[in-house]
Amino acid sequence: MNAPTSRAEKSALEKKRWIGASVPRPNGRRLVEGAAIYVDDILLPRMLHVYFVRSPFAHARIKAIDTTVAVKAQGVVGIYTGADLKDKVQPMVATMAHFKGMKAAAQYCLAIDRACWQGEPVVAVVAQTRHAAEDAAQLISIDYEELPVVTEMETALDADAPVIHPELGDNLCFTREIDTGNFEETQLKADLVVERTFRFPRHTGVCLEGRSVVGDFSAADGRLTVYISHQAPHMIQDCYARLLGLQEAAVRVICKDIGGSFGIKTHVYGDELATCAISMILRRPVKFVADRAESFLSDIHSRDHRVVMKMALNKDGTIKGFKFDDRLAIGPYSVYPRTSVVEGNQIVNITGQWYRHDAYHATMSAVFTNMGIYSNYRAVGHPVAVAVTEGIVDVGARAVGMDPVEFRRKNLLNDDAFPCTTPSGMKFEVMSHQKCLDKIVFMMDLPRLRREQAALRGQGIYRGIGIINMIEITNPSAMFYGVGGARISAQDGCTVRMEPSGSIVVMNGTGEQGQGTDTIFAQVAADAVGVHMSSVRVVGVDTDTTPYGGGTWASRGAGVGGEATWQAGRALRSNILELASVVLETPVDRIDLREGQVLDVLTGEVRTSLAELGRIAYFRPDTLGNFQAELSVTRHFVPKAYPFTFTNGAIACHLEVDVETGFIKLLRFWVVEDCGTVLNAQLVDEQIRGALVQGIGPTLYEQCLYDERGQLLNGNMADYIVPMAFEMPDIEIAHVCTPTLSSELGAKGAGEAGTAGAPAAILNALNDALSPFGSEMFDMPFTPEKVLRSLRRI
Amino acid sequence: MIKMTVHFRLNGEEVVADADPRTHAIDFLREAFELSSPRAGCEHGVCGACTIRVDNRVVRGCLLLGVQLDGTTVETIEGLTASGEIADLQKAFHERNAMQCGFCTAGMLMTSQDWLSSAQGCSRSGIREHLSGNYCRCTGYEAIVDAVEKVAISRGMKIVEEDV
Amino acid sequence: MKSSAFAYERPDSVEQALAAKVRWGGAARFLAGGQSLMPAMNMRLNQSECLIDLNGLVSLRAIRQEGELLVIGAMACHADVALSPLVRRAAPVLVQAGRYLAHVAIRNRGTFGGSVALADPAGEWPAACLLLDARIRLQGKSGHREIVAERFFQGLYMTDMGENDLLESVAIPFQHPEEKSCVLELARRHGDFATAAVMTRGRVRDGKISYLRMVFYGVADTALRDVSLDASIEKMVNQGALLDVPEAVQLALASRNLHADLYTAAHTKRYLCGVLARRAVAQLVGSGFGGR
Repeated sequence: MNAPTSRAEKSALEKKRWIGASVPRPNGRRLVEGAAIYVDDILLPRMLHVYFVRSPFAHARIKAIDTTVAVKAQGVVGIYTGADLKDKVQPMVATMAHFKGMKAAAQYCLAIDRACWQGEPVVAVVAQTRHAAEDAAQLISIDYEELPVVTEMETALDADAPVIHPELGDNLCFTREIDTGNFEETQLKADLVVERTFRFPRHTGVCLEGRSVVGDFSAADGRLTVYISHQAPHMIQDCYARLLGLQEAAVRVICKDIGGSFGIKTHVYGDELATCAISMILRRPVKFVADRAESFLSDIHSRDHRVVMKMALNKDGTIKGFKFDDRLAIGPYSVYPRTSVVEGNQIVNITGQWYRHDAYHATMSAVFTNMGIYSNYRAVGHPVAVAVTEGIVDVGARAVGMDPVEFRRKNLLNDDAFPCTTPSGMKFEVMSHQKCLDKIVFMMDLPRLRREQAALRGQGIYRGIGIINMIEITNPSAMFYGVGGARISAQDGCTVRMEPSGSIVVMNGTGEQGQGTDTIFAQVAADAVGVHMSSVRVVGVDTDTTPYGGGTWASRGAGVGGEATWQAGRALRSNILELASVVLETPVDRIDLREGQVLDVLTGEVRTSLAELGRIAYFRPDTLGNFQAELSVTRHFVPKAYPFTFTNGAIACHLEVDVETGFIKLLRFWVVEDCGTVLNAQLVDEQIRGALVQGIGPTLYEQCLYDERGQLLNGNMADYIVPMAFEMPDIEIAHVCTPTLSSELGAKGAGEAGTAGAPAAILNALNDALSPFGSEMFDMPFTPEKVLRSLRRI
Repeated sequence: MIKMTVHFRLNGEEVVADADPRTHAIDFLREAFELSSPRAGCEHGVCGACTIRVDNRVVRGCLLLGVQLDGTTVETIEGLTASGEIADLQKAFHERNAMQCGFCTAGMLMTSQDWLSSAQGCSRSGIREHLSGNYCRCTGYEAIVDAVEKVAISRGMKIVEEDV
Repeated sequence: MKSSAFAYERPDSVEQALAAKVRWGGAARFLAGGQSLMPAMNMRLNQSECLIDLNGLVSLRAIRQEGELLVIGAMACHADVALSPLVRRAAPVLVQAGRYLAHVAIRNRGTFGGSVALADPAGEWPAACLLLDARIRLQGKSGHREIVAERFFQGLYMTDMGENDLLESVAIPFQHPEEKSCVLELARRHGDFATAAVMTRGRVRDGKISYLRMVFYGVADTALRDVSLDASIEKMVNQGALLDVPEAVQLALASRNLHADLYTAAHTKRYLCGVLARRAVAQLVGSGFGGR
């Protein structure tokens, strides 16, 4: 059931009342009234608190741990080291079968014998209060012997570099190459080749709610209930069961409100796992909340790339090929279970692919370092892929003296070029690059901005305009993780049921962390069944009750979870009409269900209500003869037609550079996004805005700064610079709509596009602003210091 | 551990509880009164998630001690909701989707209401300036500014020129 | 990030506060606004055994006039200083500087005296004290004493205060009727500590300036002032040679010990001081010259 085959389905979507509407979120009220429930709000009887003593060194042998004084401190219930938990928690080795040659070392939830990054948890202190645990932690003395540290990606593979895991031979985690085999030849034949080196800072997510978990093991039930701030509850169920030696059914994961996630909360963290292991030992609930200092040190970091990017082109502006090498610096372990190399892998897959070309040679290498652990964060790899592509495209355009928009028009895949397979092997179903480009140029009134730019230059005011095109992976199939052996589900399921009163309950395992998935599921279910949205309730994620699913990542909530909801809703509708037909003794094609009422299709007469049907089905089945009503339906959906459903869009940035101080002021952004069918315009647009501002962060401000000893220098909110309201611009958004045919709803994902495209747009706008000075910048974040150096003012 | 008795007015009600001096006001309100809306995001005064109102001024709850609330009037979002003081603002936030994960929302609402009560005129840059100490990772801020601007206009605030 | 345990005292008078401090000595800290102290306590960078809360000392909150002096009580909060009509009349540069000072929630608790006693090199109030020749009034075991700002600020977070001194108030001479002032801060985000900043004042008449003073802050251990640089800049402005100001500033600051921060090199800060100085004096004389 992967395409709208029936006329009935097509017309159902045409009649939609809720799908597409900018309905406010039903769960929004509790957020504005202070009634949200995050993990730290969960209070259980006899609950304890755990605080982790973490390695102060990036790489050190742990020679001795002395807890004799700490264990007697006031309020302490237990203290656990890595050795104490070794038999209780399996180590994690994060590789995937389809990443050929990938190497990774075993990671223990608490470090054993050796700490490999500053912030790695070493000792767990469990006490009556967090305060008491922190007090006791100060009484623990650990004898460390510092070891040589690896922090530089360019030297991590040198012969004389310290090897972090000797059993692996070197510090190379994974390398991959895609080579069409003809770049050298193409380069020789092309009129020119442009090359630049791009740098992207290591940075982190800074979710406002720190990672949080309550592990509650009930010995009597033999079950572990995990309340966790996480994006993939079923994955946690699977991982925790295997790592803690429990049957899958013995682990229950519950997600309530989540204070931001962005990919940071899609991984298995040693401290969270240890918390649950300790609950099993103590047979009491144990809570862990990562405070801000811990978050900076032990949340996954991401990006941290150096890309040498080359483009071969002709004087007439035709792109002939791309060649690049991407190196990324991950932490000492590959993060479980998604690994730490997906960033680089995506970059190799998608860079340049929305431009016509026939030669492609991409290499990437992910190297282990003793900096913080590293993995997938919003837009995984795309910010780099889009920035190096769009950055080199502007360089090429400048080199041949062509306007950057004209250069794009000439080279972007045409809107009628689909479906197609790219030189890197990506299958594109349908895209609208040219349409998006035209639309954005119109929206921003580019000619006027250019005239203004020229006039202001005469007054010593330097504004820049950057326009970029981009693609985004959404709705991934099992080609993403499943084929690699990772037990992360690409499918989602939804149960939709009708209660005796006629109200509709939706149970979907996708979950939400503020992006509004619960709302769009209610909208979809309302239209699918034929009821008013106010009679639909979406329940929270609980692995005991919500169908097995993948969670939210890779922008799959709407496209996959939403599709499962639609199909389940349609099936329920069909069952309700079948019941009505029996009750009313009327043929099914004579009745319709609209706004919760069953109507005669010819006369419009109301024949019965859902409440009446519910009464009969549940309490008077004796009146139904042989007919059995089925008012609870589950459907599952997984994208099958394409490994990924790509979206596309265009982003433009208008900024001003104070060339005397190096400070950059963002004036405005425009976005044209094609994410297929839009289920809730306001929610989609707000995802785009939030994602875009997150993309601004590492382009101008954010960076995890490490010294040569692997010490994080700016692990606090004052020194790590996140975007705040005053510096952020307004963002104007429009849409093009090219639905995917791989589902009935036709919805693609939309949550990450802004993050993917903002760095590229700013890069191009900045270089446009600096072009009168002959300056170019490719090393993010673009701090005032770097701008001044580029302008040779300092 | 010395505990001190703290008497104060909380969301319109006279209350009393004991506090360990080192407990900051957010932890004190959460633990002693089981309020969930006061929350800390950084515990060093930067993110603004902990913004509450004490003696009619918005403050960083994480930088105040629970014992310092003695003799004061404290208001959290629960109180502002019950009194209806920010009903229009909450409605505007809800309708404009000025909240996503909701973790910053209590602090944002507090600071927004503070701006609405004290600003001389309405400008988007003025709203952004007043909210510049409240971190939001989800929204990118624009929807919040839209919601506050809408309420400002509906409350009769004059629109003034942007401070570029 | 929970603070270590500490005793807590809440004196009702300055005398009680001083007595408590003498009793505890270095093991206790005065708690004023708490906007700098509490982050340090929560991060356990500071593990004082006792905090002596000064928020009960109502007499120290006053902002008042004493003859030709503006006297700001140590416990006056930033917001009250920045919004005070008396301050606006007497020392408007404080109102101008207050615009850059942190955020509203911080300004509602942070205190003028706490900021001056902390002597953060990027602090607006310490820089203003230096600019305005403020006299810091202290009380300690040897009674009351007063010290001029230039001698009060001695180094990075170092002042002339003794271990058991209490900062009571700061006295600032009323500005001259012809005086104008300008504060320019460069910060990565509104309210952040400055990457580089300048505060300047001078008497302006017929487009000419006299009694020019300039203070740079956010760039070294303390706010910086150079008397001969003031004179040079004054001359340049009056000769219409504004473009010479940046180089003169950079030259003068070359011999001062400027500090890099995580994002900006010391020589970059020196360069930025030059740019800001030129822009600030341009604003003072109202020529609208020299960029934004």
